[in-house]
Amino acid sequence: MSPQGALELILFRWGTLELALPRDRVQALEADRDPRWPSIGDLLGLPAAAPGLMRLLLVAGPDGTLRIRVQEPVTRVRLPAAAIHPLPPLLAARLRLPWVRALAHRPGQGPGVLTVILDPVGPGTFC
Amino acid sequence: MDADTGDTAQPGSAAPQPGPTLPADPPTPAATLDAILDQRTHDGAAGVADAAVTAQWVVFCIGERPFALPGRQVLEILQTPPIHFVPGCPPALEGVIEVRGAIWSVLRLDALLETAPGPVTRRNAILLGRAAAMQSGLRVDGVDDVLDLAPDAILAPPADLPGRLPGLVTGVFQHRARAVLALDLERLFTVWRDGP
Repeated sequence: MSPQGALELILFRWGTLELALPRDRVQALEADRDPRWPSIGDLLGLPAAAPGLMRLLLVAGPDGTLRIRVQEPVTRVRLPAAAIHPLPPLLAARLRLPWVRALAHRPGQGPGVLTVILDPVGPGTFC
Repeated sequence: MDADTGDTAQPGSAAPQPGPTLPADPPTPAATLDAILDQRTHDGAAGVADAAVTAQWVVFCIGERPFALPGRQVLEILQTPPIHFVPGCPPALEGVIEVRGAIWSVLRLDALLETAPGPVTRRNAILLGRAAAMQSGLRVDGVDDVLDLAPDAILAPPADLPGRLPGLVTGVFQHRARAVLALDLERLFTVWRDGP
């Protein structure tokens, strides 16, 4: 039986990676005026990305609001639950990054494009 | 009642003399058709059982070294599909692949086996493996063969295996004049899952 429901996500990029946060974790989207805030690449230990337009996301973290710089484009999508996959168990067992919670293949995405769903707090809420 | 011998004495004639007797057959146990068929069926089953104890092995290479996994633990062999990087994974976990709507992790067997990998070629493949309720893709440099082996073809693993191999290799067998190291996927997955 296919899973029911859908999840709203805020999509953004870091280099070639497409990343997402659950919409209910994102409090605001602001212009990137202060490069002192950490980028999502800094937080996740990702390789440096080519320069590009940046935005500042205000994200609900476990200890308050986090300000995180991400690369454009930043978009809002609603994904059916069937497009969202839990992490494979042997990957989840050894993942060093607690923020990586799920993977998604968006309808219309070409083969070979997966979205990495992050969550700094806990499991996302299906609506 | 007397047995009918088939020789009927005519009135007034002499009783026929018995002819020379044939040598008696050696005594054999009485048998019925059912018993014979049952026995033959069991003979056939024994043959089938003998055949069934041979096991299928998938022989592949990492660099120059051949390894094998039990065929029952390898669900599918894929030409290398696009592998997606997932941040935060150890180097031995290359990423994930999508196979008919399901997401599989991809482990680099060269890293798990501490064996130097070969170059990227069109022979590179991913084995979809499952054991003890764990599953993952396994990147290998090439699949050499799939063959059936009797258990006695597999010998105890060599005592001088390097690095991590002694805990992962279950045996060794000869194939195309080379010593193939037999692995067990459950051991591999457990070592990976519980590793540092």
